[in-house]
Amino acid sequence: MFKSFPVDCLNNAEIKLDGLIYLNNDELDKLLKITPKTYNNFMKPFMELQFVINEFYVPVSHMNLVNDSELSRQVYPMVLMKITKYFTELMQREDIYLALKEISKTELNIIEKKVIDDNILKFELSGVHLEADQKNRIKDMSLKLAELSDQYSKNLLDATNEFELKLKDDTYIKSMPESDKSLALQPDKSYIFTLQAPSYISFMTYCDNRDLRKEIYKAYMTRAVNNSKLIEEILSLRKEMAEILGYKNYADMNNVSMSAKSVDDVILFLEELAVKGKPFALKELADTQEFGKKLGIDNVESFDLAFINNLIKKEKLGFVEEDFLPYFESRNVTDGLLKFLSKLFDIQFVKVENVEVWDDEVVVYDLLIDNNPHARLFLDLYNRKSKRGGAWMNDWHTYRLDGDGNEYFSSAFIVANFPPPKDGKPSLLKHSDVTTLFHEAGHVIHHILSKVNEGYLSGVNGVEWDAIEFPSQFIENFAYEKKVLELFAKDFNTGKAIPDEMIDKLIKNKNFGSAMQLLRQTEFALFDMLVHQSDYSYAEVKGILNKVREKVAVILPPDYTSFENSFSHIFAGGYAAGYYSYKWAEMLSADAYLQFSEAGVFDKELARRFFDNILSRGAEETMDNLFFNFAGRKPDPEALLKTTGLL
Amino acid sequence: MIKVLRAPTNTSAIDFIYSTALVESVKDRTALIIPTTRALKEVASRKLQNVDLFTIKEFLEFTSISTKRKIDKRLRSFYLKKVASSLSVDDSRNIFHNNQDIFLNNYSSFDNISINLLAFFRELSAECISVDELYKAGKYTDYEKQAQSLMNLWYSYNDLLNDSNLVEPWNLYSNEDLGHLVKRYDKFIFFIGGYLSKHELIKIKNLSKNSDILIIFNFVGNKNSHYTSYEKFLDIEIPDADNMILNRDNCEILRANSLLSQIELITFRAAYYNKVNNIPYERMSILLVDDSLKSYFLRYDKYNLFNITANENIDKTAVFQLLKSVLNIKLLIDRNSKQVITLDTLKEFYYEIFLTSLDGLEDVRKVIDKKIAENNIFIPVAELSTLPFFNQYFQLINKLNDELPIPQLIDYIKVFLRAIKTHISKSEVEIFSNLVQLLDQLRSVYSLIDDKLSLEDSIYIILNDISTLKVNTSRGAITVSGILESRALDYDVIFVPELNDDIFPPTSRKDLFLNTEMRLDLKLPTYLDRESLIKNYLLQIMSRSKKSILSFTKSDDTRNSSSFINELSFKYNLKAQSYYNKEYNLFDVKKYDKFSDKNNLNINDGTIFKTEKMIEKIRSNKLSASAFNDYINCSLKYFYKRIMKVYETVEMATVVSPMMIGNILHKILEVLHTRNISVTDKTYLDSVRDIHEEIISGYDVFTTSRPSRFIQDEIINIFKDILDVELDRKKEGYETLEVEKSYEYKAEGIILHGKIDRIDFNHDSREIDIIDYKFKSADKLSTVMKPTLDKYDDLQLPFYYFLYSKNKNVEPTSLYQVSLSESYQYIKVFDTSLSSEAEVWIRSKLIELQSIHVPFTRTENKKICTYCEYALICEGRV
Repeated sequence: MFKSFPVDCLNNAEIKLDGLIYLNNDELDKLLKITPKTYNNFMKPFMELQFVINEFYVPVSHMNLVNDSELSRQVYPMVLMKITKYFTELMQREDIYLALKEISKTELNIIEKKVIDDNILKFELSGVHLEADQKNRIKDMSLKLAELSDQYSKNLLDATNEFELKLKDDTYIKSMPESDKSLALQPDKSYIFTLQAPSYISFMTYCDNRDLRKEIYKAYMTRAVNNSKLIEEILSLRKEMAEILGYKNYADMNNVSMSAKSVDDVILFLEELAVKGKPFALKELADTQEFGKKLGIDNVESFDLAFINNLIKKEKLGFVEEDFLPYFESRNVTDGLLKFLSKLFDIQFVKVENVEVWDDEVVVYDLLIDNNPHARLFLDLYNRKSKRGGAWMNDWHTYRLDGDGNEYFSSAFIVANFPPPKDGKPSLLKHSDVTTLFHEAGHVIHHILSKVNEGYLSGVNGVEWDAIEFPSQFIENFAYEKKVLELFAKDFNTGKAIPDEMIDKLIKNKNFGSAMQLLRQTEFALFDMLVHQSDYSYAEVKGILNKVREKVAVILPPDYTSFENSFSHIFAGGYAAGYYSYKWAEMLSADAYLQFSEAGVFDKELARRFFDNILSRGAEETMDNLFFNFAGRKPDPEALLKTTGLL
Repeated sequence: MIKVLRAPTNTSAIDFIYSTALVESVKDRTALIIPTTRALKEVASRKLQNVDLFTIKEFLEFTSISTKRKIDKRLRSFYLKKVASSLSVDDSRNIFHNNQDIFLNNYSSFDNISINLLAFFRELSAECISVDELYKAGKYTDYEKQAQSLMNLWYSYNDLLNDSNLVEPWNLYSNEDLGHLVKRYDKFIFFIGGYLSKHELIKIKNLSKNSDILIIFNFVGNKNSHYTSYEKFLDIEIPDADNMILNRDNCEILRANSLLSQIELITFRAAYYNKVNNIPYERMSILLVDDSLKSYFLRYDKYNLFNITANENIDKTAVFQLLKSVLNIKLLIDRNSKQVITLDTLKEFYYEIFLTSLDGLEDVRKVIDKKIAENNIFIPVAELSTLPFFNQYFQLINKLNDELPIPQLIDYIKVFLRAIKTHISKSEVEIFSNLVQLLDQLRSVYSLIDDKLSLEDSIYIILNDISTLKVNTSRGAITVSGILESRALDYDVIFVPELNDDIFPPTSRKDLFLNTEMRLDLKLPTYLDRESLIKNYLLQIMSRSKKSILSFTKSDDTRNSSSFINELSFKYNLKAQSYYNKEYNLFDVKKYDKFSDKNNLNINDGTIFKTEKMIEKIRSNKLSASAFNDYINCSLKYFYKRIMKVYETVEMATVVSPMMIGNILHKILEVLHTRNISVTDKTYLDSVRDIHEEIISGYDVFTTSRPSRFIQDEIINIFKDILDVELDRKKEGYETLEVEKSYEYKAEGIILHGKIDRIDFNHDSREIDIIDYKFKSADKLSTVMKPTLDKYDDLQLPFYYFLYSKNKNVEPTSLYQVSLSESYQYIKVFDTSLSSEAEVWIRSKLIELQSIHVPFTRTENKKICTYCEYALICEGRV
C-alpha cells in the first residue's frame, strides 16, 4: 500500500531529477495555458507537480544524512543544487503568481482560499508582483543580504577560531568529566580550550579558576567586533526591503508568516514573560550569590553563573545522569512512546516487517487511525559511522487528495544517534535522549496525523514558523510525566518501575535555573524584535540591547561585551524577527500540556479535541485560530512558568 | 539507362532523396519511389515540383496492367480455401498432412495456414521461381512431393480467380506492359533500402528500356551477394560504401531491470535533451523492435510525450469487445445442441466489457459467481436470457441464420451497432464511426461472393477484418514506431528499448515452406540476411542521429541482450550502464478503492489484519482444496482472492494456454463418464473427438484467434495414451465409481469442499484410489511423501483424503495424480501413513485461518509472487 523506501534512489539520480524537473516545467507550461484557471484545474495539479519533486528529493537527502557513502557525496550536492535552483526559479515566476491571483478571484472554499492566499503571499514576499526596477532592487538586496549574512558568519567563525586558552595541566579543571577533558587534551599533556561551544561551555562549567573563566568569557563576549558595521548594513537593507514590499518594517513583514497576530502582541508577550519571570530569576540569582559566597565569590558575575550553578545542582539535587540509564532501554522507550501516543490519541502503530529500508536497524511502523492505514513511520535511532550526528525528524510523503481524488498517505522518519546495542548489551538512553525522542515524535505526529486534503496545508506544510515547535515541545513535556513514564521506564534488569523520587529528580533537574534561562531567551527575543523595527545605527542597536537588559536581565554583563556581534541566529540565520518563536511555541505547548497534566494525562475528550483541532489540521487555519478552537481561549503565557516549575 | 547512387551514411536520407530528386527533376517529369508511407510523407512535406511520389507497393500496382479486377486482399483466403477444398486427396494430404479436415472444415483454422501459403506463393511469384527450380531445391527431402501439390493449389487458385474474372496482382508484376501511366514520366528514381525481389528487378529493367532510371541504394557496409546479383542483372555498378561514422560518444547502452524502467528512463532523457540540448520532441523517436510494446508506451505516457504511429488495434476498445463477445456467444449457443455456454466464456465476456453505462452487467457478474461457486461449467442459454442485459443487446444478433452471405451478417452488425450507439463513450465515438464506414466498405468487397458461409466462418472473417482497424491514439510529439516503419527517416535522438535476444532480431514466418537450405539454393534471402538487413536499418538510423540510447532488460538469467547490442559493444567498446529501479518515480498511482469495505480493514504493507467481518466471511465460505493451497502458500493471496474477491482482470486469451488444455482434458473426461463411454468402447476415440469439438467451442480462443491445429492434435493424442493405460487398469480390475463428485465436510467450523476428479474401486483387492488429473509433466507433480507437512505447498491430495475418509468413513488406499501432459502416467502423490499428521495439520491451519490474531501476510517465497496475479495490488502499484 505504501511506497517502499527507494534504497537505490542515489543511482541515476541525476537522470531522474533532470527528467522530473524538465517534465514538471513542461507540465507547468501546459497548466499555465489553461483558461480560465481554477483551483482544480491549476492549483491541484500544480501542487502535485511539486510533491513529485519533493518525494523524489527527500529520500536522496535522507540517504546523504543517514548512509554517507562515496556515491551520496557525489550525488547529493548535485541534487541539492538542482533542487534549490528549481524552487528558487519557481518562486520567481510571475506567470504562476498571476495564475494564483486569477484563481483568488474565483469561488473558493476556506481551505482553498488559504492555500491560494498563503502562496500569493510567498510570491509577493519575493517581490514577483513589483515593477521591474523594484523587483531588481529586491533581487539585488536579497543577494547583498545573503552576502552580508555570510560575511557575518565568517567573521564570527574566524574570531571563534582565533582564540585558544592553554592549561599546562588539569589543576583548574579537576571536576571536569573525562570525556570533555579528553577533547581538550594535547599530546604534551596540556589542555587547550577554545571558543567553540562544547569547549567553552565545559570550561565555564567546570573551571574553578575565576580569572581564567573571566578571560575566556571576555574573549567569547567580544568576538567579531568587525560585525558591527555589517549589522547596520543588514538592518538598513531589511528595512528598505520591507518598505518596498509594503510593510512598515522588517518585523512587521516577517509577522505576516507567523501565527502571532502582530509584532505588538509578540512584544507584549515577551514583556509579560520578563515581568512574571523576573522575581523568580532574582530568587535564583540570590541562591547563586549565596552559594557563591561560600566559595568566596562575593560579587557573582555572568562568568560565574555556570560554574556556581553546577555546584549547586550537584549538592542540592544530587542528579547523576548515569543513574537513570537502566530505566531507559531504547526498545522499551520506543515501544513506550508509541504506546503512549496510541493510548492518548486512540491510534495504532503496527510494526511492518519485510520492507526494504536503508539499514537493518531501521524499524518501520504503520499508523492506523480507526483501524485504517494512514501513515508510515521509519525509526532509525542508533548511531553508526555513516550517519550524521544529532536527532531530527523529516517528512517524506504528505497526506492529501490529488485532483482525481486519489488519497496519498503520509510518511516520516525519526533519526537519532543513540548508542546501539552491542555485544549483547542493551542500548541505554540518557533521559535527555528520551526527551529528544519525544520531541521528534511530536513533530512526526503533527505531520502524519494530518487529515487535510490540500497537500500544501497538510501536516507540517504551511505551519507558521512560530508554531512549528508546538507539537514537538508539547510531546516532550510528557517525558517527565509519571503516568507516561510508568508505561516504559522500567529497569531493564529487574523490570522494576522507575521510583517516584527519581522522576522528581528529573523534573527538578529540568527546572533548575529555569527562570534565568527564561529571561535570557526573552532578552534575546525582545532585542531581536525591537532591533528589526527600523534601520538602526550600531550605536542605536547597542542602546536597544542595553535597554532590554535593563528591563529583563537580573545580572548585567560587563560593559565590554558585544553580544550583538555574535548573535548569528538573527544576523546570519533564519531567525530574524523570529527568535521569539522558541518561547511562543513553548507557551502553546506548555498551555496544552498543562491541560492534559491537570486532567490526568489520558483524557479521551481532551485528546480528541487536540487531535481534531491541532494535530489533524496541519495549517488549515493559523495556529492562533487552531489553538483557540482547541482551548476555547487564547494561550496563557503563565503556563510557561508553570511547566518550568516557577508557578 | 540506369544510373546508380548510394545514399551517404551519415547524412539525412530524406535530405539526400530530396536534393537528388530536386536536381534530377529540373527538366524532367519524375516519379520518385520510396519504401514507406512515412518516408513518403516526409518528402512530400518538402514540396517537390515536377515530382510525383509513390511507395514501392503503389508503384508496382500502378505499373501492373490487367483487364481483370485485382483481387481484394481480404478475399484471397476465401478463394484459396475454396480451391483447397477441391484438391485431390494426395495433394491435400501433402499440404495439410493428416489435418485437412481441421483446416478445411473451419475457416479460422484455415486462415492460419493460408497466411503462410499466400506468403509462400507471393515469394515464389516475386522471385519468379519455377516448379522445376523448386523441385531441384527440395530434392531428396519430403518437400519434393509437397512442392508439386503446393503448385497445384497455386494453379487452381489462379484458375478460380480467372473464372471469377479476377487476377492476382503479383502475377502481373513482371509483365512487360507497364501501362500508359509510365509514359507520363521521363525519369524514375527508386530509393531502395532493403533487398529487391526478382519481379522488382524485372520491372526496373523493363522500365529502363524507355525511361531514365536512377536507383539510390541505402544500406550500410559492403555489398553482399544480393547486391552483386542486382549489379549483374541490371548491368549497373553500385558504389562502394562510404565510411559509416558511428560516434561512440553519441551512443549509450543501458541495462535496465524492466521495460517500465526503460520507459521511465526514456521519459526523463527525452525531457533532458529537449531542455538542455534544445532538441524538439518531434526530432526524437522511439524505435520498437516489436509492435506489442506500443501498448506499454500508450499506457505509461504520463506526460503525453509519445506519438504512437500505426496506432493501436481496435481490439482493446469497448465497442469491439462487446461486438466480439456478443457474436461469439451467439455462435456458442448455435453450435451447442444443448443450448448452453461455458462459464469461462461468460466470464471473459464480463471482463472484457468496459461499457460501464450498459445496464445489467452486475447481474451477469452475479450469475457467473453463483454458477462458479456451484462448480458449474455451463450455463443454459434459457437462464441467461432471463437477464435483462442479454435480452436487450442479444436479441438483435440472435436473429441470424446458421448460414448466410457475409453482407447479411454485416447488415445485422450495423443494426446492432446502432442499438448500442448511445452507450459509446466519448473516446470511442471516432472509432465507432470508422467502424461503420469499414463495414460499408466490407459490404461492397464481400458482395462479390454469392456463397453462403457458415455463421462461424462469416463471423470469423468479419471480426478479422474489423480487427485491422486502428484507433487513433496520436498524442505527443515523440514518434514511437517500428524499425521498419522508420526506414529512410532520421532523428536527432533515438531510443531503442527492449533490445533483447528473444525479440530482436525478429523471426519471420516465411521459413515455414522454404527452409534456409532451400533459400540458399534458390538464392533467396535467408533469415540471416533478414537479420542483417534489420540491423542495417538500425545502424543507418543510429549513424544519422546525434544521440542513440539503446537499452535492454536484464533482471535475471532468463533474458539476455540482443546480439546487436553485443556486436555494438564489442566493435565500439561500449559498456552497458545500469538503470535499475526498485521504485518508479513516474508510475505509482495509489488507489485504494479496490477494497470495497476498506473501512473495516487494517491494510498494511504485506499484512492485513483480520476483522470480525472477515472471519464471518471465512466461515461462511466453503473452503476448496485450491483455496486451502492458496492460504498455505500466501495467506495474503487467499485474502485478495477469496475474501476480497478481487478478480484478475484477464485479457482475452490469444493463445491456448496449458491451463486451458488441462481444463479441456478434464471436461472431456467428465463428459465421457457422464455419457457412460468406456475405454472398452470401440468408438472411444471418436467420442473423444466429438466431445472435444463440443468443449472447445466454449473457448473463444479457438474461434477468434488463429488456433493451432497441433494443440488439437495433441489433445487427441493424449487420449490415445489414456486409452492404453486405462485398458490395462481395467484388466487389473479397477472400475471407476465416481467422476467429478463433490464432497463436503465441516471441520473446525469451516465447510471444506472438493470436487474429486475420479474415484476408482478394485473389486478384487478392495482398494479405493483417489485420482486427480493434472496438466503437468510427471516430474513436476507435487508429492507429499515425507513429514512434515508444513514444507509442502500443494496439499490437494491430503485434503481430498481427509474429505473422502471423513465422508465415507473409509480410508482410500492410494492417491494418484495423473500427468496429462507428455505421457499419461499414474504417480502416487500422498503417503497415506501421513494421514493423521495431515489431519492435524489441516485442522491447525483451519483454526489459524479463523484467528483474529493471525493476520494475512505476504509470503516470503518470492517465487510465488513472480507469478501471482495480485502482485501489482499487493505491492501497492495498482
